[in-house]
Amino acid sequence: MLEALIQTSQLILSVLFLFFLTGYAFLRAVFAAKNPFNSLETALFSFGAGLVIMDALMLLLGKAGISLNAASVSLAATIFVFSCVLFFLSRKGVRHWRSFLTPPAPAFSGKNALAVLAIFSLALFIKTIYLTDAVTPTSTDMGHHMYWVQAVVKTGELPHYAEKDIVSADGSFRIGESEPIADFIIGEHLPFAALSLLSTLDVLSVMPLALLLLVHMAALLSILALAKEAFWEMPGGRAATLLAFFLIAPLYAISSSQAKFISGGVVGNTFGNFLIPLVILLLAKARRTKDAKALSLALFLAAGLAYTHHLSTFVLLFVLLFGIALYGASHLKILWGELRVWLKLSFSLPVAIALGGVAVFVFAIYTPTYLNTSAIDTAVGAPSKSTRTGLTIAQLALNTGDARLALGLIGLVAILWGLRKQGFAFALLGGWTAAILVMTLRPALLLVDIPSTRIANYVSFPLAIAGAFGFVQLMLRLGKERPLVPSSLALALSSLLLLFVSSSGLADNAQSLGSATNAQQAVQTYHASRYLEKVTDQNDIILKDHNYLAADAWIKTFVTRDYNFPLSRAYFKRYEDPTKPREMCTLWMISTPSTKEARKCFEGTGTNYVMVNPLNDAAQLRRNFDFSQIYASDNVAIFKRTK
Amino acid sequence: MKRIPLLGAFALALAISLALLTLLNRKAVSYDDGKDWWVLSFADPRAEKSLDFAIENHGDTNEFVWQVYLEKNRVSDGTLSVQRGEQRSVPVSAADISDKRITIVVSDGEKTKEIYKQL
Repeated sequence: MLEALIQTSQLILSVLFLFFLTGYAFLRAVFAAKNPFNSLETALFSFGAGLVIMDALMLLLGKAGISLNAASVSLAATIFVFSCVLFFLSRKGVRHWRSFLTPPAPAFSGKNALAVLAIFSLALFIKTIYLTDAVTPTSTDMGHHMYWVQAVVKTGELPHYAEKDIVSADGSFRIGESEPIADFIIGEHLPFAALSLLSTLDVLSVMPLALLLLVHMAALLSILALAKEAFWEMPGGRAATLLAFFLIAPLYAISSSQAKFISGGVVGNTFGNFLIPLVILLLAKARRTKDAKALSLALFLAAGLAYTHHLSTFVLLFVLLFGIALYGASHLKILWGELRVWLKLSFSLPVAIALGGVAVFVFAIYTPTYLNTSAIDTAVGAPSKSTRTGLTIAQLALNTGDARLALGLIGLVAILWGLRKQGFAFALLGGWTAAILVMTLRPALLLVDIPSTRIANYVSFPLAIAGAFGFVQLMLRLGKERPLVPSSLALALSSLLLLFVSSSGLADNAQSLGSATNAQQAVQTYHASRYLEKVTDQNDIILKDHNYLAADAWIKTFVTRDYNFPLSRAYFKRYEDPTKPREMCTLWMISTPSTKEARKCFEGTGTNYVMVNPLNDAAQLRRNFDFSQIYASDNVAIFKRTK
Repeated sequence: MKRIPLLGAFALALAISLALLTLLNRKAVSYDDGKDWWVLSFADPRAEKSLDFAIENHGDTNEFVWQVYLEKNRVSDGTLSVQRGEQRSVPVSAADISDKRITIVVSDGEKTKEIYKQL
């Protein structure tokens, strides 16, 4: 119990120092004269900026040849914070040092604050209950990501995204040369590595889950902040703001893009769903206050997103294009004036510094791995597969929740209807909802060639805001001076609608609870991995099974020799997919180790250790006299090829 | 109305959530906490003439019976007491054996596991 509390303290202090303090110092340096943000916005922008700053600092350290360890990372963060403080004092004057710590204006007060706290607590409670069954590190995606985190922690170097695979030529097989991987992006791993180094918590600890949970909860709060920016001063705006938070936070709290993404280790989407609303919020603020610094901070966070997740960056581009197009189309009479405002904002020193910094990073320090022709070609163009031609409304409803989708569509209509009278924030919200709906339902219209289910993971967030606005507008229409229906009926209707949405969202939560992972099987895999790490060296080649071994994706975090090491027998269906022919050695060497083909594979690849579940795959290996069995537990057997 | 320290309340709620998850994670990744399993392995699988084996116990049963077979003939046996969380080794020499399968069979009275080397 005491050790758990110490670990929690290490984790929280490290998060506060690495991400909040650096981000806050940066924010106060940029906005030295006066902090224009309320307390919620300050916390969110600090956290978002802190994540990006730590990426940048670690990239600079790694590229300078300085080993990434607890000392270098914390020293870099400390120097950065002091530099920001000095910059702040140089602008503000040493006498005003106290204003560095002046608390910003509260975001909510009174009953509104209580409502926000109640919604937040309910959401966190539901997600925590779900995650108590996911604390055993078994998720395949999380295991893949944590390999790179562990590689940084072990080597002290930036990850080199490459892997070796089995290749065949002239009927023989061998392990090929290292080939670059475009799927991973460095910003998905550096914050975890920094946190692991400073907190001394390894990848098997609660650390990855905790950071994802924090980013996710911050994403939900960013929806609250954005809804407040757009609606607060409108008639019914306070109700719409709180309702937006209610629709996104506790309802459907476990569905995809929410708690399931935390337990599943869907890092990029989780970070993307946090940074996208922050960028939108900053752009809305930049226009409303005509503040070039807010625009420069938006560019900074967008660049951070580009270093973290390509799909989220791609989605953000479409969101902004849609938002700008909607705003332009609905404000044709003042278009020239608007253009002048944006030109003035864009051609300013803060924006020039932000753009210059990004350019230096991209061209001189580190270019994201996905910035190559093949990656861009695979995302843009006519949909190439049936999974990329768009979802039906029914499929989308499964992802977002039918009630929330219905409200969101009503909200989108209400937003489009009111565009002419509203500001830029409103247009961005409309653009956000519309862009993701079109990308999900009709991707061919935008020449988007990405699996539609992946785009659908972004739709819950804008739908919550649109849905809240739609609901409140509906209620206001019903309650007008000449109401369409009597007020008592309006109240009953609104209560029924809210009840329907709430029950749908909470029922979805209930269905998703109760799928516990088997920790006893997982720890046997960890134990066997540690054994293999001890008894093998760089010349040994290990093959393991992905079908029946628990937590097998985590084996490589123990041995960290290559992303594709140990070799893996994939899901059986993958060997049968005619559209994606793949090497068969990994299948043959476990399933039919005595065949001529398997023997050629063993000899060609040098595979000499095989790790399987004894309940499913030991029999055929025991019958083969080329093997000794060197390890036996209930759920793991390890064989060594001796001939 | 009195000002509510909203960010402080968020932080407190998150801290409680993280403390709970940390506690459960530590239990989950522990070899012993709430688990019942044991493992049999060769101490040095690379050494051709060493058959030393180890039993690591993470279960409730502490007494193990071991037997060494040369092909199908039992050549030695014994018992070993291994407490939960402990690992103990048994030395076995294979100095004069070649072209044979040596099998180590261990039982805790309920489950039996075996490992072997082709010499």
